[in-house]
Amino acid sequence: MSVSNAPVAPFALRRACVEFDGEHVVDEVDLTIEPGEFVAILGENGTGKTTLMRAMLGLVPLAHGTLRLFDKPLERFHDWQRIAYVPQRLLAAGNVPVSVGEVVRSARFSPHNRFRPDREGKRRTQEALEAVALAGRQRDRFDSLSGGQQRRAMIARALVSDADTYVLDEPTAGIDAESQTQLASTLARLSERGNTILLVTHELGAVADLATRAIVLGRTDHGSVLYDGPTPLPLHLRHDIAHHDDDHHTGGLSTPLLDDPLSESP
Amino acid sequence: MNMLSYDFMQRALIAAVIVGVIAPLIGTYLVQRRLALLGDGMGHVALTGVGIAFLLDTAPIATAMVVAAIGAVIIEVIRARSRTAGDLALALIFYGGIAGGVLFASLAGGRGTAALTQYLFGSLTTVSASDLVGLALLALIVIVVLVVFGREMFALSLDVDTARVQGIRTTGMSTLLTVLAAVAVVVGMRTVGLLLVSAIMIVPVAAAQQLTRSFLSTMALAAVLGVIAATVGLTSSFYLAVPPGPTIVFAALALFPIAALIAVPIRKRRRLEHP
Repeated sequence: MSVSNAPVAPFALRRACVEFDGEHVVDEVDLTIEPGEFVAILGENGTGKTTLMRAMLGLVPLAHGTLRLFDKPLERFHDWQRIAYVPQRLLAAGNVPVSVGEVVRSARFSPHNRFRPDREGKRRTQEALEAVALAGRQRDRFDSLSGGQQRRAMIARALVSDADTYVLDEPTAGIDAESQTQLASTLARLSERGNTILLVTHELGAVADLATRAIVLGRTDHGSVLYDGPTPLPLHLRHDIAHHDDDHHTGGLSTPLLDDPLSESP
Repeated sequence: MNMLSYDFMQRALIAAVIVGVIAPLIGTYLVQRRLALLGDGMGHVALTGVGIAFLLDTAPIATAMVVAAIGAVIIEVIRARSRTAGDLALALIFYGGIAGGVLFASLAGGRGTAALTQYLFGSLTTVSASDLVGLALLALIVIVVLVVFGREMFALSLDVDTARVQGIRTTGMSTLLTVLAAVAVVVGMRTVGLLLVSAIMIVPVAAAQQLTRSFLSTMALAAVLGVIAATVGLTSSFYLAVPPGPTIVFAALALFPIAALIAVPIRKRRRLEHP
């Protein structure tokens, strides 16, 4: 969690396009995420939020345009320990038991410390699990945790890295109210310490409310970005997003990005 | 009749214990990545190396290692290029491997075909002193590679995307794991045989994972079970006068239901801890 003083933008996209089978999933995106910003990428399902986020991490190739990470093109960027990525779930729910502690600590494994014993790993893992209220679960099987607890363990996983930039994919999807509150306070703390936070979400709630800048995606003639500016969102955009919120329960949490309640959802 | 009074049995036992430790260590990663059948395929590919050795009249360990390593790299290149055609391409390489082995061995003459069986199902009598040195060296390489790269390979086996964002070279690590599987296959070739060697990579892991809660403890227990299976299997092979491959695999398979029985009270207790 060391915060670099160098004022270099963690992410900069210029005229970025991502294509799948010849179709533009992300089109003409120009954006710069400044250090210390708390940004929420919002949009209806199918507007390419997750694809945009994956493109910013270099996980999806750009069909056109450029990506710079900390002012370096992807090929020449090696400071990966500055970025912590929290996916929705671990891809490989494999057949071997994996403990919560092992999942969390795995974020510390990289080419940088290949030949060095990880002396701080144990302590950092313990602290990170305490920070997400999962102290004492270190030795349990990861798959014995509930969905919300697994998500919190994934946040702990991000906390043990030495990152100053956190990228989260739908961090609140399908998790209980207690975990949402817990998550919001962890992210607020990270943000207060000057870290950059970028999250993708389709629901407005306690977590998205922390964002100071919103990027709303949709389909227009001039690219994928409908809105890029400070929160709260302009009225006409709030409805677009809120309407697609009905498949997840926010556990009774308020949705302060909106002035009006969600009662008018269809 | 004490089997250890024979020099060849001492060598066979050492060779079996080496594969009993090494194969499950690699197998744990393969099972986690859902590549349990990869070892099987690597065994087929290594067979071509054995056939080439017969044809050239050289030591099979070196040629099997080279051919299996080349096969491992080709497999990874194909898998990286295409997700869908990968499965089919793997099958083609595996068939090619076994066909190549039988073809080259047959070209080497009648002696070759007979000797091939020893490599398919293992043999008690064929482990030479120089083989043992080669096996020990390969085993050492596997352990050094795991100490240096094992943590990154673990992160990769959890999630490819997060591993990439951590700066881990995922294609490189993936290839390294497949090459390690090839090494384990060659280490097991003499005692367990190429057709059954992947069993000693996978079955101890399947037994161990019923009792463990972490990746590291699964690895450790699988290696212990691998050594037990190799020792028990080799001993039975000697007294029953049958090839060691099948007895080692049966010994490993027998550990599976035993582990399942032991797991019942352990699971019950854990459920009480965290209802």
